[in-house]
Amino acid sequence: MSNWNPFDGFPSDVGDQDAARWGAGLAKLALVVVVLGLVVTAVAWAVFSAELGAGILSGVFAGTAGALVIRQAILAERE
Amino acid sequence: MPAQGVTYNTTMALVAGAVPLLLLVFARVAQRPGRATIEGWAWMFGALGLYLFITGTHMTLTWPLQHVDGASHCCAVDNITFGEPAMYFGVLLLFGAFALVRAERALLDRGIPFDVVAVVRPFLYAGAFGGLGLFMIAVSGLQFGMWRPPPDEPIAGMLAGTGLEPIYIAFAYGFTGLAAVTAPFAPEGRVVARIAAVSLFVAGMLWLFVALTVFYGHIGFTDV
Repeated sequence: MSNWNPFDGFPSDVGDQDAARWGAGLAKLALVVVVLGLVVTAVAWAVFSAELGAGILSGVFAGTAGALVIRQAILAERE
Repeated sequence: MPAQGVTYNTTMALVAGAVPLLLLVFARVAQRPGRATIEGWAWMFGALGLYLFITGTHMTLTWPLQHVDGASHCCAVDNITFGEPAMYFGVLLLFGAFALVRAERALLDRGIPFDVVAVVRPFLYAGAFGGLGLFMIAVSGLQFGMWRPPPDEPIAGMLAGTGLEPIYIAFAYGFTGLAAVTAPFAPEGRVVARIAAVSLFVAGMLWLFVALTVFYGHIGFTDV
């Protein structure tokens, strides 16, 4: 029997250690994106325009959500 | 009343972004050995599908978005390009969710293993037809000059005249269409499955980002 997920083509059984390592790494990445993104947003808002700041803030939120989606997909609700 | 009419397509775009991203997580959860029930996931998709179905149907039948003077192909035509796909995929999502709940309960009660692929695949086939429609929306939108925002709309207005927003939105429709067209055939081929998954992620990210920008932009654009 193949070991790939029929919906996404990636391995079905990611080991617990690998999942934990990726999960922790992506959570840290999301945190870094939020912190740095908020700083860049504030600078862009003050120096250039509110529009640019709001656009960057939208990108920060979307990027953070994307990282956390990948994290949750890898963890797949394991204990 | 704002110039462009009733613009509840902000949350529609947010849901259009959330659904592909959540489908990716669901695909992993549903196939995990020894997983718990997926009923919560099904009801969640049902709720999001209901939202798209109601708003998409209202938009399709009543055309709440109005033409804005000075903006090319904005925004009455969005009643077609937003409303109809939202209605179609919304109702598929809603009924797919009901099917998941009912199938899981019925099969587990009889001690039969629950095959998620067998339950969702008919809905994926139907979704593939909708994906073809999304390809045509992307092509026609570029051809007929859609998705060129009014210059005074916050954020989107920064791109006015650059041609970037039409390309961005066409890619959003295109990747969503690619995911919809490839998803039914994913279980037969790993490469196709990966194309479907990556397209789903890219489409979700594109819709999510544009949804977040229009929450700011539409509020700033609404002078009432």
